[in-house]
Order: sequence, then C-alpha cells, then structure tokens
Amino acid sequence: MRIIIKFILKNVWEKKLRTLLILASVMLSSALYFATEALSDTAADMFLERFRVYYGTADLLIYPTRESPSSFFYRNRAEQFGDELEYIVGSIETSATLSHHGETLRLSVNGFTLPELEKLNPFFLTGEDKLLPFRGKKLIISKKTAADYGFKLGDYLELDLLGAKRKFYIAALAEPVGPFQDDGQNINVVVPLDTLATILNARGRVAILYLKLKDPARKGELMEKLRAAYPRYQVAETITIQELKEYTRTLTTTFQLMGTVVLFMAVYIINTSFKVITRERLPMIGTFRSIGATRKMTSFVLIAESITYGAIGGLLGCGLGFILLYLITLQIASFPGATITLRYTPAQLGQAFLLAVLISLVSSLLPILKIAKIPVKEIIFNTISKPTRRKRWKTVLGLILIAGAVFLPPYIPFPLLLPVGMLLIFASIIGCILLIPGLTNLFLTVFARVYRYLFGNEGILAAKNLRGNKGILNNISLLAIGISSLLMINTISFSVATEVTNFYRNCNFQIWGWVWQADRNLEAILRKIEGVEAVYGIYSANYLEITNRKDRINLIHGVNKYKHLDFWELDIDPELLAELDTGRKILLTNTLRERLQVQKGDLLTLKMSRGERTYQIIGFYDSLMWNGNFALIAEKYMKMDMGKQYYDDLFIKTNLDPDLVSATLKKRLERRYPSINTIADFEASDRENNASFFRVMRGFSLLALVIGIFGVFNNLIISFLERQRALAVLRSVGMSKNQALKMFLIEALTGGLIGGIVGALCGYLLISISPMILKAVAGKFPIHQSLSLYLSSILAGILITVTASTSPALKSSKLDIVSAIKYE
Amino acid sequence: MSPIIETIQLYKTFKMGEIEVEVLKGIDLTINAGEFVSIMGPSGSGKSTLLYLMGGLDKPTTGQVWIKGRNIAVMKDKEISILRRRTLGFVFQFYNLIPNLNVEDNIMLPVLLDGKRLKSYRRKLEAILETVGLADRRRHTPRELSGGQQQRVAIARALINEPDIILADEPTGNLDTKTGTGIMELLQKINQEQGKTIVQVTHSREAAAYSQRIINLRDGKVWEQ
Repeated sequence: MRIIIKFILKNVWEKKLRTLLILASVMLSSALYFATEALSDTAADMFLERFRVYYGTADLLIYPTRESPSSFFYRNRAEQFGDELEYIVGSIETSATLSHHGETLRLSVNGFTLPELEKLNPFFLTGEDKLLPFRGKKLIISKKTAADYGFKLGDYLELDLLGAKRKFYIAALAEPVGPFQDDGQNINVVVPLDTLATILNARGRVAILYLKLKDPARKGELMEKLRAAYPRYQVAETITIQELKEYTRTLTTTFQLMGTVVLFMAVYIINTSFKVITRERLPMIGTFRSIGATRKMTSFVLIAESITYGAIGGLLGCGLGFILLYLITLQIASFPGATITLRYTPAQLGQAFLLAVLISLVSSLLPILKIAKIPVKEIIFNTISKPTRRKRWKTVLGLILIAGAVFLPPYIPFPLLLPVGMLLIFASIIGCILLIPGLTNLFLTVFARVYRYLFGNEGILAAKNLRGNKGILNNISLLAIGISSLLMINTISFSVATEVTNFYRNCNFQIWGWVWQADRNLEAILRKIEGVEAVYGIYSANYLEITNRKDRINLIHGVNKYKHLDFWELDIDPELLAELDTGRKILLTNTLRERLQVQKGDLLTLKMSRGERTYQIIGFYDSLMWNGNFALIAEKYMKMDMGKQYYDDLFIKTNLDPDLVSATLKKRLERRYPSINTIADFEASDRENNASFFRVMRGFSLLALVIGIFGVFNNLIISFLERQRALAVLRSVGMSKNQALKMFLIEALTGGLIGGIVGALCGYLLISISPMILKAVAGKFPIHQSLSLYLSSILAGILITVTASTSPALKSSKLDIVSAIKYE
Repeated sequence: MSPIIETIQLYKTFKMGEIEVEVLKGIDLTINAGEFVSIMGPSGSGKSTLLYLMGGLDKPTTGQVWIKGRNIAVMKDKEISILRRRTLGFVFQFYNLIPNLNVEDNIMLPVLLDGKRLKSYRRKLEAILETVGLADRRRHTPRELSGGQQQRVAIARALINEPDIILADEPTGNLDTKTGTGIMELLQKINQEQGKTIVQVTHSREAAAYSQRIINLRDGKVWEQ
C-alpha cells in the first residue's frame, strides 16, 4: 500500500502545471459552492441585521396608519395577551434636524425606556454621564457618530424637533450595533420615552408597539386577535419569511448560475486532463497488467490519484471559499458600515469538500474506465485501435439540446421556471460543445481559403492541422464556455443598467416625494411653489394578498385617468385606463400575467383593508417597477376599498433645476417630515446598487475565464507534446524555424477566433434564453445587446490563445528534430 | 561521377547525463551523384546519426558535411530548411506521416513549405502517385493505409520536389519481407530511372543488396567500404 501511495503522490507531483490546473479547477468549484451556499445564510443574516436597527428581536409591530384616528394608542389592549408574549415594548419615534458646522444632520429620535430597549434590541454603552435616571432631555448616541461629528459625552445637542429648538444632553455613548447601528441614512439617537411623549403630547400612549412571541408558531393566530383589538391600526410582522426568501433567492440564484458554469468548466478540464494522464500511464498500466495486476487494481490506482486531487483541491477550496464569501458579502453589504458576520455551517464545509472529491472522481471516471477496457495485448504491442468514424449522434444531440433550450421556456409553468430554466441553460452549453467539432470544420473550410491569401502556404497548413485536432477543439470548448458566460453576465448587467435609466425615462416628472398627510389641499399648496409646474398625488397599496390565487401583488397604484399617462410614459391605451373607472377592474404587468397564469377577463380577489374585493383583469402592460410585480386600479376604488384619505406618493413636474426645487420643497414642508428626491437621485442610487452586485458577478465570470485560460494553456502544451513528432517531420521535410513559429501562431489565432465566435454564438443563445428564466426572480426586462461586447469577446478569445501559444511556439522552434523523430 | 555528399573528419558526441558518448569518430566519406549506397553496422555504431548529419537534421560536434559543394554544418536555419525541401528527401523507418492529413496532403508538404502553388504540381503529383502505386488511395489518411502503403507515401513525399538525394533510415525496418522487397524495388527503380542518389541505413542484408555500395560502420568509424 505504501508503494502505491508513494507512486500516486509522485505522479501528482511530477507534472506540476497539470496538477496546478486540476487543483485550481477543483478548488475554485468547491470554493464557489461553499460561498454560494453560505451566502444564503449570511445574506439572510445581513438582511435581518439590517432591520434589527428598526425592529430589534420583535416578531410583530402595531402602528398607526394614515387612516388611524390618532398617531398614538394605548398599550393596554395588547397587554391582555401578555401570557403569549415574551415582551411588549412601547416607543415613540420622530425625526429632528441638527445644524452642525453649516451642515443639516437628520436624526431619527427614538423614545424608549432603557429596560424595554434592552429587551427589544440589546445595546452596549461605552461611556455614560448622568445617564440614570433616564429622564428629561438626555440622549444616547453611537460612539461612531460621535467620533464622526466630534461630539463628546456631556455635550449638548440643539435639536430642531417639531419646529422648536431643544437642547439634549449626551448622557451616553453606545457601540454602533443594534439600535445604534448606522443605516446609511439617519443618525439614530435614543431619548427617554416620557420626554418624547411630553413633547408630542402623547399622554401615556405610544406610537409603536413591538411584540415578541413566546411561541412563533402561533403568530398568525395572535395577529388576528391583535387586529381585532386594534381594528384601525396596522398589525404586521417585522419581516416575513417570504420577504427574506425573496431577498436571498434573488441574491443567490445568479451566484448559483455562475458557480455551476465554473463547475462545468472544472469537470471539462479534469476530464481532458485525465484523458492525457491515462494515455501517458498506458505503458505503465501495460507493465502492471502483464505482471499480474487486474483491471480493478490499475483502475484503483488512477481513481486514488483522482481522489487525491479532489481532497487537496477540496481542502484548499474551503479556505478560498471563506475569502470569496467575505469579498462577496463586502460588496453586497446593504449599507455602509454594515456588520459583516460570515454565517456557515460545518455541513456546508463538508459538502464543499465532498463536492471537490466528487467532481474530481466523476470527471476522471470515464477515461479511467475506458483505459481499463483495453486488452493488455493491445497496450503492450501499441496496437490500440482508435475509432475513426465521426460521431454524428453528438451533432444531433447538440441540436436537440439547443432546440429544447430555445423553444421550451414558454411552456414551463412559472413555479418550475427557475430550476428547469437553469437546466436548460446548461443543456444549451452542452449542446454548443457538442456542435463545436462540426462548426470548427465549417469555419476551417472558410478560413483555409482566406488564409492562402493572408498567410500563404503556412496558413493552409495551419488550417489543415487544426482539422480534428483535439487540443484545439478542447480550447475552443473552454473558450466558448468562458466567453459565453462572461457575455451573458455582462449583457445582463448592461441591460439592467440601461433599463434602470429607461425606467426613470418613463417618468414624465422630475421629483418624487412622500409627505405626511398629503391630500388635495397640499397639492394646491405645492402648485404655488416656485418652479412647480404640476403635481400628481397617487394612492397605493402594498403586498395585497390574492386570495383566489394564493399569491400577492407587491404594489398597486390607484390611478387618476386624466393625469396618469401625463406623468408616466406607459404603453397603455388611454381608453383602457379610462375603463378602470367603470368598475372594479385591474391592469396587470405582463410579468404578473405570466406569474399568475391569467388572461383578460379573469377575476382576482384581493384582500384589502375593507375586506375582500374582486377585480376583473382588463389588460396588460410592461413595467419594471417592483420587478414587474405591479398593477393599476382606479383611484376611486383604491380610496373606497383601502379606505385611503391621503396620497402615498407625490409626482412633481418642474421647469427649474430639480435639485433647487427639491431643496425648496424640503424646507417648505419641513414639519410634515417629507422624503423628497429627484429622479436623477433615484437613478444614481439604483445604478450604484446594481453596480456593486454586478461587480461581484463579473468577478465570478472572470474567475471562470481565468480557469479557462489555464485550461487553454494546458491544452496547448499537451497539444505541442503530442505533435512534437509531426513537427519534427515537418522540419525534416524543410520547414524552417520561422515557418514553424508562424504556423503555430496562425493555429492559435484561428483557434482563438473560432473559440471567440463560438463563444459569442453560445453567449447569444444564453442571452436569448436567460430573460425567459430570469423573469422568475427579477421580473420581465428587455435585453440590450452590445455589439462591442461581442467583438471584444472574440478579441479576448484570440488574445488568450495567441498569448498562451507563445510558449509552445517558441518550444517548437527549439525542437530537437532527431530525438522527436526517433521517439516512438 | 562527381561527389554529391562529402563528410570530412565528422565527429558527434552526445551528452547522457554526466557522461559524454562519442558516437562518430572522424568519418570521411564521399558519395557520388546517382549512387545507391547502404550504410550498415551493429546497433549503436552511429549509422543513423551519420544519416541525420548528412540531412542537416543535426549538427556535428566537429567536422564538415558538404552537399552539392556547400558545407551544411555552417548553414543558417533558413538555408538548411530550403536545402531539405529542394535537395534532400527523407524516408524514415516509421514512415513519419502527418496523421490528420490525407495521402495527397502528406505528399505535397514540401511543396507547401516551399511556398509554391499546389495547382502547378498536380501533374507531378499524379505521376508520383502512379509511380508509388497509390493513385486510388489519395484521399485516405495514414491510419487507413497498411505499413507498406504508408512507406510508399513517405517515398512519394521525398520525391515531390525532385530532390537530388534521398536519405532513407531503415526504410524496410518496420515491414514484412514481401512488402520490404516492394519498397526496395521502388527505391531501386527511382535510383535507376530518375538518377537520384540514394543513401539508406539498414540492418537488412536483403535491403542492402539493392545498393551499389555498402559502407560498414563500427564504433563510430568506417570499418569497410
């Protein structure tokens, strides 16, 4: 046994470049698997952490809506369910501003009692001064904010709170975690609940109740009871499982997709490497078999070698996985300063390691078994028969797989769209690879004619050499996988970036705002402000359950038929929009049509504030708002069925600089806590959010390409070693060193060109299929192809191959003709 | 007859690890134009090395190789490549055909490398295919041919550029007796009808019998001529 282990390790160590390539492939695959798996938990954790700043550990919230009789309410009705609750925490929250060195800082002022805050959202003080008793005008602020703005313990901050200046004493500094976490928008401060209640005239009431259940399984039941107890207030879950799932799914799906592309390439590289390994070991296997070793024994040695690669690659992959996970998490962190805690389980590490071993084993199994079947006589006498027939079934299968990937998606039921769609994407990659020999021959026929004029006879010779050259075919396959996945990712990110711009281009207004208790009177006030040309207030509803479809609509706008198309450029017939007013009728996006599998005339029963209401679908339109999970009903039915009194959003047209008008609006509406932004602000922020996500995706696809480059390099070296004799023959019949160099470079150029073209074709195919599949997670969005992206991909293919072929080309010119010719 | 190949004090030493092995120890030879010469000798006597030096596939450690009045030992790569294309034709024991090229393409390789138009060599190709008896096998790849047929392709390749000299390394070494006889008869015909100088290295007395002169090598030296 010791001899066999020594033999295996020696083999692994002997060919360093190949070992490096196999290990890199295995390592990257298992690292990506681990990072993607752990990302789901880490992202969920980050998502929960992000909202911990607002909700702490609470499961439920009770708060007033614009339709509630008051902004405050008593907690006693909730306290009757005290037996079922771990805690009830009351709070009053408001906002304030603070002038600091000419800058206006926005503060989120949260009134709590310290024991209750400790229960809701544990915090850690780093320093305190006269904190207790926590009464009067005292506040606690995060030590990070204090450091950022130069505040010290014992300082007074003059807050502009409800139009009056009030001085608060900094009684404590806290670690920037929990309630003092920086959310990237506001500075969170905690003040005594009683103080805020007095200022806001709450008189023993609170504005929000946070509740934590003893038994989370009884959440639904308790929510019903609380809704009965607080009929005109909102009882809601802090974070729904569905929200969490949607967030993590959107994030991880794309990573899974890329991870699988890398896995695919790894399998390909290991498989081709093992074909070479088994061929090299053939004489040794012959010797072993001739002295009595069985097929099982020789196969066992090769399998053990493959497992060794898997095990080493797996161990290294787990380490790399941590680094990748950290880097990805860092990029997608929802807001600056977010705490990054990597969440993973030992099982995920184990799976990643196991995957590494499996990839190596499965990829190498076919060549190992194939070699085991060769009779010992054929090995010893070197008379192994090679199949010469072209495998037409591969071409046919390739065409079937591609046809399936192109034509099947419209027939896949929405819930299966994602898993089946991913399979179809891989089927189309496999299909492309199967077509590569045929396509290569086709290209070579064309190139051979052109090359005569471009490169002379060396060009013809190069084209002839490439026909049926396995190394070149492998390179073309690797380039095709790498380039197509890179193209797909880049085109999708390019499309998202373009669509973000296009989406806001549909806004025929420049400022988008939200103002407390906005109504027609406010609209009239706004119209009088200098620069405001027109105002459109809209009622909306979020997350409405569709009871007869077991799904929900994330956003519904109640539209004014006279104004809507003036403010929104939508491809909707004005008559159809006007028809909304004639009854409970609804217009859905095409994304919702496919998701809900509905058609014109179907009925949707929506669970609205005033009970269940049935709406008839009268048409469909395209929109990217809320990823297409968006619908329109008439304004009057929104008011009627949701009991709306105030607008949810305000769209404002201006004929002056939107930034100036926005600033004026903020100032004029200061006491109504406005949230006003220009469309340009939204556009920039969306673009930045998407950019960081796609940066990571591009990083992933580049990794795939790096593996591809390694593979190409390895294939060229293998190809050179295999062709040494043929090269020596060419030299013996008169090929000069320069001619050999020229021929090698033409071959590389051709291989790269074909690889680039096939990669671009395969990429085009993937890009055409992916929107049909991605709509399952991101809604329907048009794809914007970029010609320059395709051209640069082809150029990249050429560059990679030509660069990688430099070493074998130089080797070919230094070839020892005699020893290469004598070698048999 | 004028000398076409001359070797003067030819020495060749190989390094095998730390040890230096002197394979050729001062070979002086003259081969005249139109001669059919066989080089014989036991394994390791240096006969193949001598042939490769004559063909410019390897460089001597010291000494000179003169082909048609030019010392090839001092030629640059481009010059020696042109010489191999136009003046010399090689035939190897293991045929050494390019596996993915068909018979025609393999034969036309020296023409391709010489930068000539293939079309202008069509007639010549037909004639050579007739000579070697492979007219009906022109589209086949080496894998689809027998050993004897492959060696005929190698001979055709050696002839296509009409070289003055054909160097053959054990041309029948990998063939059965009957096929070997066919190949030797073909080489003899080429020598007699086309006046090509043929130098072959062989172990076989039967093959050597086709030549006009036999040079025996032993321990890197000419033993007898």
